[in-house]
Parts: sequence; C-alpha cells; structure tokens
Amino acid sequence: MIEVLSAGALATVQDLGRNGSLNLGVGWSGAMDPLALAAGNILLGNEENAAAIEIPVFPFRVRFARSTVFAVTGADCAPRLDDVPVLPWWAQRAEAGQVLSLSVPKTATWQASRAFLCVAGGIEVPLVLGSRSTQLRGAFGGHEGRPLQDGDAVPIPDPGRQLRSGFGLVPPGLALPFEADGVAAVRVLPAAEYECFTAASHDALWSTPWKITPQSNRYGYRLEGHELKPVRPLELRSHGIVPGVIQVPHGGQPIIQMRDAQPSGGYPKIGTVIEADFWRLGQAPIGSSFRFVQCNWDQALDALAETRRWLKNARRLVELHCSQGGEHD
Amino acid sequence: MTDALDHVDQLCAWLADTDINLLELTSPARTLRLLHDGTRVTVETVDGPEAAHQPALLVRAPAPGIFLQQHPLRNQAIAIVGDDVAADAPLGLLQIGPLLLPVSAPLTGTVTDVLAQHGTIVGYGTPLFELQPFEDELKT
Repeated sequence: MIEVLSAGALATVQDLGRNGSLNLGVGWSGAMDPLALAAGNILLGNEENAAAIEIPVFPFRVRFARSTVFAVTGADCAPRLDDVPVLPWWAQRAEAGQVLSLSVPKTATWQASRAFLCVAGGIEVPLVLGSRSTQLRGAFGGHEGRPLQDGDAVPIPDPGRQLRSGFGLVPPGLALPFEADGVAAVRVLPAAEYECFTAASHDALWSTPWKITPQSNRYGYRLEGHELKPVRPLELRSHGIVPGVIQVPHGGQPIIQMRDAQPSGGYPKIGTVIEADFWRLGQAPIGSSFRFVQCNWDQALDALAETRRWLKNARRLVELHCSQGGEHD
Repeated sequence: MTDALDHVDQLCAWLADTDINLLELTSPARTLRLLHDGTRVTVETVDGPEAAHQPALLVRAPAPGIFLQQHPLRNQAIAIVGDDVAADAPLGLLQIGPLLLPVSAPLTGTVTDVLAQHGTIVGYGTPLFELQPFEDELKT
C-alpha cells in the first residue's frame, strides 16, 4: 500500500488507456505521457501497461507502507526519499515507512509538467472495461473513480521476487526531440474539414506558434493564436472524435482533445495530432507555446515505429542489465 | 578536547608499564606515534595531510560507456571535488544507449578528484573518481 500524505490536485491512477469502449461512449483516459509511463514500467520489469500515479500538481508526498522498488518518470520533480535525493527516471528501492516527496518540476533541460510514480507490479486497482485508468467523467476506474486525496491508501502488490534497482533510463524527451524553428512541435495530419478553412488559416496553423491557455486540462487544451476561419460558416452534426483531434469552434481558437475527451463532438476538425507525438503535448506546460508540423500517414506511422523502437531497445538493455550477476539491493 | 601532545609524558609512562609496542593517535592535523621497545619509549609525530595513513580510493568504471558527471535532465554535477558522499551513493553515471548505470562510492568519504571528462567514452575499469574514505570506514 502507498499512503497519500499530500495529494496536490488532480493526481490520478492511469495506465495506457481504456481502448475499445468508444462505442459505449467511454473515452480513452490513460497517461498524458504514455512514453514516460511505459519507460517507468520497463525500469521496474512491469508490463508497459501497468498502472501508475500521474501527478500534475506539486508538491506531492506519499509514504510506502511496504518495501518496494519505484521509479519517478516524466518531469524532473527532484524526488527525495526521506531526506535523500533520488535521481529521476531511476529504479529505486524504498523500505516500508519511507516518505517520497516530489516538488515543482525543473524545466531547465526539458519542458515537462507531469510526473509518473511507477511501482513494481503496478498500482493494484481493479480493471474496469479492461483498464485501470481513472475515468473522471464517468467516476469509475482508477482509485474509486476520482483524483487522489490526502489519506488515500493506494494498493500496490508485493514485489514477490528480489528486484534490481539502482539504474535508470535517459528520458526519451531528450533522445527524441522534435522542434520547428527552435519551438517544441508536434506532427499533425490534416483532418476531414481541413479544406473548409481559408488559405490564411492553413498558413497560420503550420507557421505560427500556439499557446496553451490556463483553460487546459486532461479533457482538452484550449489554444491561443491566430484566428482560424472557415471559408463559409460550418454546421456539423455531432460525430465520433478521438484524443488528438484539433477542433475549431466559432471563435477561431482551436481546442485539442486530450485523454479525457468525450467521444463525440460537432465542431469542425482542422487536424489531428499524431499518436506518436501525444506524449509531447501531454507534457507541455500551461503557458508554453508549440508548433504544428504537417505530416502524412506514412510519416505518422514511422514516428510511432520510432518510439516503439526506443521502448524496445530500452527494455532489451534493462533486461540485459538485470539478468547479469551483481548485487541486488 | 585537550591535545594528546600535552599529555605525552603521562602516556609514555603508562605505555612503559605495559607490553604494548605501539600507540598511534591520528587527527586530521597530525599523527602521534609512541614506540615502546621493552626498555624505553620514543616519540614520533608526523604533521600535515599525509598524517592520515589511508590511501585514496580510485572509483573505476563498472562497465564501458559514456561517462556523465550530471544526470541528462540536470545541469549540475551529481558529485564534485570536496563533496562528502555516502557509501553506495552515485557519484556519476555511465550511459549505454538509453540505459544509465551508477558509478557508486564504495565507501563513505570525500571526493578528492574527478578523473574523466563529462561526456567521454570510457572503458571498463577506467578510473573516474578519487575518494578519500572517512577514517572509521576503513576499520570496519
């Protein structure tokens, strides 16, 4: 068990998401930075989909009620175990009773905003519709279908075997940078109503920065930038949408649907952020700006293959390291 | 605390009455040695840093890789010259692809030198740090 001493706000249990239930009106949920979650699980010998705690607001503090091995991935929030600094993206042993403290992320080398507390075996909440992710809209999944609160007891399994600790991974945010003109960027596929927008809107979409406004969260990011205008007013019936879709409501300021997006909407869609770059968006802090870079289907698949290669290589090296003789601590 | 040198005569008298051959007292400033050959006691003192008879330890690369003094997410070194470090604490890192391995302090002590450049490729066993172990560490 992990006892939550200081929950911050909106910390939730997440795995890689609840796929396959859009037909029931149930959205994906899941980690805003799936790459950080998967990497944390690789460090601990977990399956990549094991559940972790996603932390967007700091400080955050927990006490380990049983000994385990954990890793804090995502943003570097200067983890401390009792009073001893712990490296980020590092498999670290915790003894029963030790307190882990996370503070406001340092963004000197990587602009990231969310941390993931991964534990050996994963957070042990029940599967609902095939996932342990918190479905906030429906108030199910995760830990009692809600964000964590002070005093919560979050179940974790007995690690069972002697786990290796004391090694880490280089964050893929540093290994797989993607920028346009020195600004963080994500790749976008033009969507169904792309052609309905003016040429000036197309130019603005691809060549001007977009700022993430404070009205942004796990449901969606409201952006601020040049006004995007349709050639003529567009009225659409509500239709199915997925996270990543960039909608343009009447004001011309786009909204990107994020992990907790509802599964339908009626605004015109100018583009879709590709799955492979979703983690970049998930880590982008409120107030930061980024660029959209146009890509095609093949490039989107290549980008996904690149992140899969990174994860596969990381798992291979971690397994190789853990299979070698050496001290277990 | 009083200085042992103020009590050398008393210590010599006590030592002369025993069958102990050597009494050695070490402080960071000096070492005092009383040698008893069975008939008389002679006094030796050694001043300065070499007084401490502990050899500096070389901390070597546990594997080939790229030596990192700081974590890739940080812009400050994990350990610099003059830092006191705990046994098993990482002093630096070795990067092998995406994998990071620690270069750990074998004993509690003070970092006295960094022997490799950040970002250079090092082989197995390359000396990376010099560590002066704390006195009580060597005796256990």
